[in-house]
Amino acid sequence: MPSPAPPAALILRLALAIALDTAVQVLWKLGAEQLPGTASVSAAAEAALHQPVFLLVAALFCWQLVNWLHVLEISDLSYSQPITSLSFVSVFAVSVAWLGESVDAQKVAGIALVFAGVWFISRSGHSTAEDTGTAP
Amino acid sequence: MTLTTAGVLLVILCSIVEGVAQVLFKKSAQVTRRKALWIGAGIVLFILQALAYTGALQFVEVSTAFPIGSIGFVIVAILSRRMLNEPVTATRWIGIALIVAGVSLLAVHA
Repeated sequence: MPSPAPPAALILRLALAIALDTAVQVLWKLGAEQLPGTASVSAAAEAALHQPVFLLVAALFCWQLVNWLHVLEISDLSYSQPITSLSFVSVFAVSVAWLGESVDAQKVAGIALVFAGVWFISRSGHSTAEDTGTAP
Repeated sequence: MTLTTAGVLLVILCSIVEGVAQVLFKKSAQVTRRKALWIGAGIVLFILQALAYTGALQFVEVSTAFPIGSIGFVIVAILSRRMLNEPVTATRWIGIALIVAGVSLLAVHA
């Protein structure tokens, strides 16, 4: 019997999780490049606190956590967590488009495999509670 | 044990700790009381693994650490099955295997 389609709320929240993860990773990389070179971890941390981009990253982290907890309210962890691997693809796409990263056959194969994997995951039921009718 | 080996083991340990943190987050969604306790414990583990991962990068290249870290998908599946009683079906395992392979290919030149 085919698994029921995931609810729209879950699809939207997973899409938001991937978008937030992408934004955090790209902004983190941009922020790290703006930090002055220092040998001390504490000095680097203090410098980061004065960078608006890191404050934005911190805010996005909080939003990401809240969103992720909502995702887990309505889906299995073993369903949703692998689907967020699509952020590897979106980060790569942003890196190519805006940061000038190169594309080669190996990376295209990697993207294809991630998409194939997510397709298989999406074919399994999104929630054990939903499938069995049992309360979480 | 070489420093590289220690770094690789630390990355694997980080993946396990992150997997446990994810299970704690899921537990918070399953309980009706003390949700904050489960979430707080998960956040603490996340911070600890982030610090340990940063330390591991002193010993191994990002291009090595990233593909190894993708075993986190496998660890989460195992923990979900054992600790949350989620049905990790053959379809899910095939998907996870493909994702780990894909992430490894994407990250090998990171």
